[in-house]
Amino acid sequence: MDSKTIMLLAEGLRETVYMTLVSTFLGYVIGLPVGILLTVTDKDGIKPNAFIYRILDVIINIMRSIPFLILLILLIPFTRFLVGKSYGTTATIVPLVVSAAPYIARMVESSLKEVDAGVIEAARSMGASNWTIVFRVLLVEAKTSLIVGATITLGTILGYSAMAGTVAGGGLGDLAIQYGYYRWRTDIMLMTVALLVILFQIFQMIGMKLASVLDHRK
Amino acid sequence: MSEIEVRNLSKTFTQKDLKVDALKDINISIEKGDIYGIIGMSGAGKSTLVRCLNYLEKPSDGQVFIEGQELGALSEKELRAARMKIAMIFQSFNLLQQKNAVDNITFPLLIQGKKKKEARERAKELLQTVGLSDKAKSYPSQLSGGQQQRVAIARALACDPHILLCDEATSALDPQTTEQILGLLKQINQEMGITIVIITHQMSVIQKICNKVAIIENGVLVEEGQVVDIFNHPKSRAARELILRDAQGGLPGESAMVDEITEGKKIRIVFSENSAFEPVIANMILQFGQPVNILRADTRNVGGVAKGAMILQLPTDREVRLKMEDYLRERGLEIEEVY
Repeated sequence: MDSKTIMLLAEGLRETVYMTLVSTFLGYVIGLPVGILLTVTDKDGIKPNAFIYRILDVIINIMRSIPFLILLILLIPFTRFLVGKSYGTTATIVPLVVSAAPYIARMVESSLKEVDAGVIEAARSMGASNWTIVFRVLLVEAKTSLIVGATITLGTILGYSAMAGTVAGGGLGDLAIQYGYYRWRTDIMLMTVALLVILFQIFQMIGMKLASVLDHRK
Repeated sequence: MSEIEVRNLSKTFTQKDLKVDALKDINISIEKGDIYGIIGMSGAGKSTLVRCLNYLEKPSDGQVFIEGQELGALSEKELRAARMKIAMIFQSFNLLQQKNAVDNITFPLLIQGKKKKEARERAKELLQTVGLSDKAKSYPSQLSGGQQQRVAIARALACDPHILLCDEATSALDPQTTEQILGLLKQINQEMGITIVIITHQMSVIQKICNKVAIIENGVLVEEGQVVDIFNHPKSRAARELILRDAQGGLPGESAMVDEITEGKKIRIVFSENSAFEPVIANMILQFGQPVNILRADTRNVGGVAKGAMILQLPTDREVRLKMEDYLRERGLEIEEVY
C-alpha cells in the first residue's frame, strides 16, 4: 500500500472520528435535556405534565421512524441553509445530530427511569426540590446506565456517519464508496472496514470500562 | 400544642372510575417525645397515613398540623423547608447507591446549602452516633441491611429533625438486627428528644419501643391509646388479631392447632407487675385438681415493664371454670375470652 493510500485512509479516519464525536456531543446537547424533560413530565415522573410529554413523545417517534439515509436527503436544504453546503464532514454533522438527538433522548429517558422510586421519595422527604432531584439524584444514580447509553449511541452514530458516504459526506464511508465501490479498489474497501471495526471496538471498550469503574452498585 | 396533629384526614385514590378510600376520617395527636406506633395489616393504609404527615401524599380531606403549622396551607417552598424538620426512614433504606456512607449523610445538608467541609464533619459525628465510624467510605452495596439502615438513620438525623417517621424500617431486617435498630431509635428518642412515628405490621415492634399506638384497619383508625393498655385490654377485633398473631409467632401449623381445639373455653391471661414470678397456674391446677391446657405462653418486655401473656384452655365444667377465673382474678391477672 503506497503512502498516498495511507494518507487517504488517515484523513478518512480523522474525518470519521470528528463527525462521530461532534455529532454525539451535539446530540447530547439536545437529547439530554429532552430526555430529562420526558422523565420528569411522564405520568410517574416528579412533575407530570401530559401535554409536554405527549408532544415530545410524538416528535421523537416521528423523527426516529425516518430511516437515516432518507433523512440525509430530506435535510439537504436545511443543511445548506445552516452550513452553506450539503457535502463534506461538517455538513454531515447536521443530519447526524438530527438523527441522534431523539435517539439519545430515548436512551436518557430509559436510563433515568431505572432510578429507584424509593430513592427519589427519600430525597423528596428531605425537602429536595425537583431541580435538586434531577441533578443530584437522577443523573447521579443513573450515571452508569447513561454512560452505557452513550457508548451504544457512539457506535450507532459511527455507523450512520459511514452511510453519509453515499452523498459525499466524507470519512471512511465516503472512501469505501468512492474507491472501493466505484473504482474496484478492494484493498481500500477492506481497510476502511477494518478501521471502522477497530474504531468501534475502541469506543466500546473505553465506554464500558468507564461505566464499570464508576459503578458502585456491585 | 401537639407535635403532630391529624384532623379528619381522608385520602381517596382514583384509578380510572374506581375510587379507593385509603384513609377515612383519621384523628391523631402525637405529643413531643412520643414514640408513636401505627400498626395494621398490609393494605390497611398506614403507609399512606405516614406519607400524609410530611405531605409526600396530599390528603384528599382534613388537615395535618406539625408543631401547630398546617402543612396544607404552605407553599411548595415552605413545605420543602418544613420537611427538613421531618426526617423519614424506609423499609428499603433508599440510600443513593452511587454514593458512599459519608456522601449519603451529607446529601440533605448540601441541599440545604451547608458548606461541604462542615457537612462532612457533621456526617462523621453522625456515623459515630450510629456506630459505623469505620464505614465512612463504604458504598451501600458493601453494607449489610442493618448497616444501611444505620446510615439512613444518620442521614435522617443530619438536619436535626424534630420528628422521625419510620416506614416499616425494620421489616426487611432479621430479628436480631431489628432489635439493634429499635434500640438505636429509642436512644435517639431519649437523648435527642426526637418524636418518632413508627409504621409496622409487627406488634412486637410496637411492644418493644412505642409508648402509644394506633391501630388502622381498612383505612379506619379502630383503636388508639397507651401500648400497655391496648396490650392488656384490646377492644377492637383488629387489635386482638394483631396481638394473637404475634403471640402465635405467625407459624401456620401453630395457628391451625389453636383453631382445632374448640372444646372448652379459651382465655387469654395477662400478667402484670410481679404476678409472673408466682407459679399461679401450677398452684391453680394443684388446688382444683383439674388440668388446664396451655396453648401459648409468652413473656416479654412491654414499655419497660415485664409482661407475660398466656392462652389457656379451661375445663369444660362451667363451675370449675368460673372458679378458676375468679382464682386468677384474685391474683391480679387480667382475663379475657379468646374466640
